[in-house]
Amino acid sequence: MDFVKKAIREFDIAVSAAFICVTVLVVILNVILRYFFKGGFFWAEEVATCSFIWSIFIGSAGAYRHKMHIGIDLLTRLFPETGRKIVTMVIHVLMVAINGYIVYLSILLMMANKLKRTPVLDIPSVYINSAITVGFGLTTIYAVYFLIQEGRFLSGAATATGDQ
Amino acid sequence: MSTFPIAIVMLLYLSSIPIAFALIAAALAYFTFGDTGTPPDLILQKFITSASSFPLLAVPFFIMVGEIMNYSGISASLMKMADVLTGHMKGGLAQVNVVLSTLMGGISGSANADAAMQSKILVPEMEKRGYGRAFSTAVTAASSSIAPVIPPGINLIIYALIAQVSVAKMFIGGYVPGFLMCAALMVAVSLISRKRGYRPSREKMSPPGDIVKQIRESIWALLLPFGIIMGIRMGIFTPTEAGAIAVLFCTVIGVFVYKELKWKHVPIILKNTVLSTSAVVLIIVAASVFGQYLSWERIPYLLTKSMMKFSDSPWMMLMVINVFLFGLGMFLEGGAVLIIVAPLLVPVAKTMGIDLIHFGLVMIVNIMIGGITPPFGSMMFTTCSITHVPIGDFIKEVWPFILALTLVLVVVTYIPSVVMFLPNLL
Repeated sequence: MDFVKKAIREFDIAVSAAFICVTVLVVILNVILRYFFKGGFFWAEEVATCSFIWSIFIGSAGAYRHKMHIGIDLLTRLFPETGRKIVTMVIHVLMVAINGYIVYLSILLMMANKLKRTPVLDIPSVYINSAITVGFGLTTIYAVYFLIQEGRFLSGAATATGDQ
Repeated sequence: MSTFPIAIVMLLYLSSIPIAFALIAAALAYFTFGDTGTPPDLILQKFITSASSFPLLAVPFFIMVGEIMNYSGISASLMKMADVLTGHMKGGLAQVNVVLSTLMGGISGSANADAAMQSKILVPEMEKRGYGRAFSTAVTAASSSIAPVIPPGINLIIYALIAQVSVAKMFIGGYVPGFLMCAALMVAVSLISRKRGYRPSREKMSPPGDIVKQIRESIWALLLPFGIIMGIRMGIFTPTEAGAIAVLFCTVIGVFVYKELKWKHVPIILKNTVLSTSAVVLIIVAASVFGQYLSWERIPYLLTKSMMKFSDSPWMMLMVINVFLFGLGMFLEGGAVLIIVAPLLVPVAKTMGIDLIHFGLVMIVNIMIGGITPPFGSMMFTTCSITHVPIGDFIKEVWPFILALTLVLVVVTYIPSVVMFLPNLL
C-alpha cells in the first residue's frame, strides 16, 4: 500500500521511471538476442528512443517540482525577505509564461505534423510529439501552483503584519 | 548579428530561472520576434530530434549504473579497497576519500553523485577521527572532480557525441588525467596532514595477503570499466549498449554477489535516475534549440574567425579557452558548460589543429575544477549543503586542492602526449 501511495504522490516520476525501464530493458534484451540468438528486434531503437523522450519530458516536470533543474539563486539571495518573495513570484510568472508558450507551440507543431508517421514502426508521430505537450503542460501547472502558494504566503504575511 | 538572445539567457539565468528554460526562452524569443521567417513551432521540432538519438541513451544508463552502485554493496566494497590501499598513510581517511573517488569513477561518472555519497558516509567518519569538518568537506568536493574524468563518465560521452569523436578513445584518454588528479590531491592531502598531524586510519601498511584478498572481493567492480572499454573497442557492443549491459551487470552483482540490492531499493534508484537524467538531457535539448539561433546567426563561424585573427598559436588559444571555461565554470554547472560551449569551441580547436580527444579532456578537467570554486561551484554546494559547512570555511580549506588540480590542468593542456599516448594505442 505504501508503494501505491508513493506512486500516486510522485506520479510524474513513476511514469517517467516506467518509460526509462522500457528503454533499458529493450536495449538489454536486444543485445542478448543479438549475441546469443543472432536475432533482435528491428524496432528496438525506435521504441527505446521514444520511451526515452517520454521519460525525460515527464521527468523534467518532476525535476522542476523537486527543484532539481540546474540553476543558481543569485538574485533571490540579494534581497531581504519581502523583496525575495516578490522576486520569486516574478520568476514563477516567467516560468508560467515560458512553459505555457512551449505548450502552445507544441500544439501547433502537432497540428502541422498530423499526417507524419515514424520511420520504423509507422505510428503517427503525434504519439511522440505529444510528450512535449504533456511534459511542459505539467511544468506549467506546477509553476502556477508554486505561484499561487507564494501569493498566498505573501498576502498571509501582509495581513499578519497588518494585525500588529 | 543579433545578440539579444545571449543577453536574455544571462538575464534569466541570473534571475534564478534554470539554465535549460533560459536557453529555450531565448531561442523562442529570437524566432518569434526576429525576422528569420522561420515559425517558432518548427524550432520545437528540435525538442524531439535532439533527444531521439540512440547514442544519447548512454547517459541515462550510466547515471543508473551510478545509482545502483550505491545500493548494491559495490561502493562499500570499493571503500574497503581504498582503505586497504591507503589507510596507513598520513591523513589516512582523507587519502581513502581521494582514492575512493578514483575507484568509483570507474563505475559511475557523476561528480555530484560521488560528492553526495561521500559527504554522507565519509565526512562523519572523518570528523569522528579528528579531522576538521570543513577540511573533510573540501577533500570530498575536490576528490569528486576525479570521478567524471575516469571512464566511463557521462561528460566523456556527451563530449564524444558533440565533437563526433570515438567514445572508446575518449574513455581511455580519461585514465591518465584522472590518475594525475588523484596523485596531485594525494600529495596535497599528505602535505596538509603532516602539518596538522592527521593520523593514519590503520597502524601499518596492509600485508600483501590482505590486499590480494580485498582485490578478490572487489574484482567485479574493478574490472567493469575495462570490460566496457574492451567491449566497445572490439565491437561487441556500442557505448549505449555497454551502458545497458553495465546496468544489468551491477544489478546481478548487487543481488547475487554482494547480496545487498533489494526490491525496496528500486523506487529510489529509479527516482534518482530519472531526476538526474531529465535535468541533464533537458539542457542538451535546450542547448540544441539555442544552437538553432547560433547557427542562424553564424556565430560558431564568426567566433572561429575572430579567434583565429586574435592568435594563431594553439598554445595561446588553449590558455584563453582555459581561462574562459574556468570563469564560466564558476557560475554554471560543469556538464551544462560542456553542453553549451563545446559546440562553439570544437570548430575552433579543429581549425587550430588541436587533437579533439586532447581538447575534450582539457575541457572536462577544467570544468571540474570550476565545480569546487566559489561562488557557484556545484560540488561545493552539494557537499556543503549535506555537511552544513559555511561556504567561507570551505573556501579556506579548498584552495590547496584547487591549486593542485590547476597544476594537473596545466600538464594536461600543454603536454598532449600525456593524454594521448593511451588513446593512440587503440
